[in-house]
Amino acid sequence: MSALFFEWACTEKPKVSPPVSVYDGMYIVNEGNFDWGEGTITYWNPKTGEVRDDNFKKINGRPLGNVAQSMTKINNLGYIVVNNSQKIEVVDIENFQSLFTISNMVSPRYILPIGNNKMYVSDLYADGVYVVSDNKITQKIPVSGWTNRMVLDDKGKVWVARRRTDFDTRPGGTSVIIIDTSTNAVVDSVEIGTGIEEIEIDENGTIWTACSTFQKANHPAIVKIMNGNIQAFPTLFPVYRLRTDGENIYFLMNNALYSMSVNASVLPEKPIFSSSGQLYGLGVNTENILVTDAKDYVQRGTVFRLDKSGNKKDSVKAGVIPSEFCFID
Amino acid sequence: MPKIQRFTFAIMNIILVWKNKTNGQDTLVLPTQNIIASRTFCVKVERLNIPFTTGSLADVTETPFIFRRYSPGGLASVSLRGTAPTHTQLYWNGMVLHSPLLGQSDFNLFFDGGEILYGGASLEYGIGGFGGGVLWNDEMPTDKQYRISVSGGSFGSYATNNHFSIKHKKIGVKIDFNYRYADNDFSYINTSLFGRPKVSQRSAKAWFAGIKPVVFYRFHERHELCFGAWNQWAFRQIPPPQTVRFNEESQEDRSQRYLMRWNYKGKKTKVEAAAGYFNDYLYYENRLSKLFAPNISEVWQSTINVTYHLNTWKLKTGINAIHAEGKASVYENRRSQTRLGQHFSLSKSINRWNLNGLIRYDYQNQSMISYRLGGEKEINFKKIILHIYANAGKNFRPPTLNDLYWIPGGNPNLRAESGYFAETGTEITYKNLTFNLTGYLINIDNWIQWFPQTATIWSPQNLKTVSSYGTESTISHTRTFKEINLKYSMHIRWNRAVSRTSSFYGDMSVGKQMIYLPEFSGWSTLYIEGKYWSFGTELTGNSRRFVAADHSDYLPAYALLNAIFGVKYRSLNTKIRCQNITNVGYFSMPNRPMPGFHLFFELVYEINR
Repeated sequence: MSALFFEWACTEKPKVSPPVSVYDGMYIVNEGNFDWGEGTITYWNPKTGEVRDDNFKKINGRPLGNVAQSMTKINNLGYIVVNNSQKIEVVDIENFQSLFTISNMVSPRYILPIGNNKMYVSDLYADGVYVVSDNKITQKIPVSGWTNRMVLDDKGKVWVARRRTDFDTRPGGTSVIIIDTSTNAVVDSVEIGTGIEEIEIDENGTIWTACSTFQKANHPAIVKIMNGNIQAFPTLFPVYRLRTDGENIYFLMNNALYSMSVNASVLPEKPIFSSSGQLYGLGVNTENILVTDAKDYVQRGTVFRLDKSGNKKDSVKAGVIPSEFCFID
Repeated sequence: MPKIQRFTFAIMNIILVWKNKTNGQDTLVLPTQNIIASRTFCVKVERLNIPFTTGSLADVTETPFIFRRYSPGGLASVSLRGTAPTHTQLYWNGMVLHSPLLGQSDFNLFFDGGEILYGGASLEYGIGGFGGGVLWNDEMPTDKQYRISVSGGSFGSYATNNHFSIKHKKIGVKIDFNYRYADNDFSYINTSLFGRPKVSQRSAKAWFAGIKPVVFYRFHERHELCFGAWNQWAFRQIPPPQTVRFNEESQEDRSQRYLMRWNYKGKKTKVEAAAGYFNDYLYYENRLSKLFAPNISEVWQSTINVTYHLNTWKLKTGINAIHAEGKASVYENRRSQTRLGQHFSLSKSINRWNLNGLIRYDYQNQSMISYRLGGEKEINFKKIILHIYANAGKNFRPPTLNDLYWIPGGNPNLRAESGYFAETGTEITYKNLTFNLTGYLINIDNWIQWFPQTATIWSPQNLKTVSSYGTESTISHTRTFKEINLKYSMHIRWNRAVSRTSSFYGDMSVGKQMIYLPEFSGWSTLYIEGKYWSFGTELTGNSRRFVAADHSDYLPAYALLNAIFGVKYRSLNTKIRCQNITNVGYFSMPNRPMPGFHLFFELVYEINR
């Protein structure tokens, strides 16, 4: 009887969008809240204006999982790393149908395709980098600490950003490590400092990374590694996102977006874009810079599309905590 | 300051203690409830009964609290009247119970019913209770009482909760002891997996133990000493959300609390004084992430109150001091905070109106002056008794140690939350029918919210102005047919808790109901009791709860139906509780499944002399 007083929610049937070409668009990876939240994927095609929210759940009838960390396109497949759910969901890049899942990981973060159906997967807690061949885990390369983003140089070496959490009791976490892809073994490391999360490689083969304290100095920095030489660009605040389109470096620092040439000798003084929100994710392709605003992290965020000078072209509403991009060229 | 000095400091400031309330009379199943207690003028106070003696506060059916539960037996934080968990204060004999690190308590740790102090009612004991508080008081037993209860049921659960009290000449002793264990391996439909398979909850074992001995010594007609301890231990695995395959998280809680108090009752004067030492230890462990986080806090507190009656005037004044020290695993050093307070209240009856004014001054890094003004009146018509009351005032809540010193992100420049409250209510009694309606408004400025400063560092800020307003209505009816008692009651709550301000562009949460808070909630109960048997049904429910601040996602509404069957023979009482009879799949938190249909059997042996 008293149930009449309660407001009952109506359950909407999922609306499945008709299949259309996804090329020229991008998938936006929305983390969702850690633990209780659900990661989602938003499809956005700026040319047509098409937006599809929560694409995975609508197509596959189940949530993606907890904390969608990254998405990588390999051939015609989309590999979505779902961090806290300890899995990689593999989907058809065009229709987003779930094909299979790679599991038995501890807390996967990023994928780096190596070639010949082989990829590396970094992990927050596994103390290693997984080697995945033909979609099966074949090996774990032991590395103490949190392994994060990775890049492949033209000598077949993988550079892995490695850090520690604020509560970590594990050793390591202050250097970039180098793995030989032919032997799947760690062959070298470069001591940088604490908080190394980002790593990029530019058109000259120079490695770029950022840290919250540089070596023994007590300041954050952007760090350039070229021919064995380390050059630090001290920053006032920690750089938390760093990307390159080959010619320029783009980075987020203190809630603002900065840009500098890969050949520059000093850091830019002024940002090219800033916001009163919470700039969180960053993506760069040949034409655009994509910056996400995660707002208060408990409501849907916004993705801004900018030109290379930081001028806003347009924006779109994404899911909760938009962070990464998968471009479908 | 060395420990001995701190303790001496506490004793020197000796105490007050508020006296007592009547505990609910034990019956077969019929819960007792005092809607508006006359103990304190102008405020709303209710008795909070735990529906079965082996349950915890988080299992209460007839509760005004909105629980956020991670699992049965798991962490249960509460919201009262649309406020945050930190806005519900807990007191034991007037002493602040919750950890100074977190500023809130887990309701699954408490096995004793208490008194709910709504809104401004909690100001008599301290600041911070914008929503209100829960109070446990101990008083000298008046007779011998033994209660031994054991229970067992679904999901590998068993429990015992025992109470012994005795009075001999000048000495009284009360001891409560409880223990509860559960595997919590219930089945649920995992909606996050393909095909929605039925799976078993894993990694959700939990045990709790507690003992509360209290000794009273009435060494003089007017003087009484009391020594009490309240020790609790708990260990809980923290189950993963349904979207996570496995985890290895657990939490251990240990609390040791000791107090002593002295009462003097003169003809016109009453002096109540107390001092206490509370120690809390919380250890969080995550074996996957190799995170091992011990958190320790110690609190020394003392208070003294003097009440003086002069004709129709009642004057009450007192001082209190709280010194808290703590070290969370991420703090650089052990941190501390001290709060000193004094209060003064005046009550008077004029033309059958009871009027009361209370003012408090507290200092903790800043001065905080809070107050409450109120009045109440009872009007007797021929067959109808009308009771009306109203109060309004101002309250504060200073930041916790974690708010100030957490690394990274702690903000030592935080100011105390401050806000105004007002409430009015009426109770109409006609024969065996009682109707109660309360309306309230709470407006909190400088609301402390943890907010991201960078992509990885969150920091508490005085960000928002939040308004919470709503109504609480209860109707209850009792009838007796020969030897059969019948009681029906229904309670409906309506609450709107909205953020009034935003600190960033494009905030879509302004003006919208805050996350996790249902706009409508309530319960309906029917109890029938014969001489040797009893039967009861309980229907509880919540409307949908948004889990995204812009209302783009929500948890659906749900209603749960429970039934209780009881048989009583002399001092032996047997109950069967059927929970969630309709086997509703529901979530208290997103992706945190709660159990479907389950049973508990309970055996209670009770003697009162």
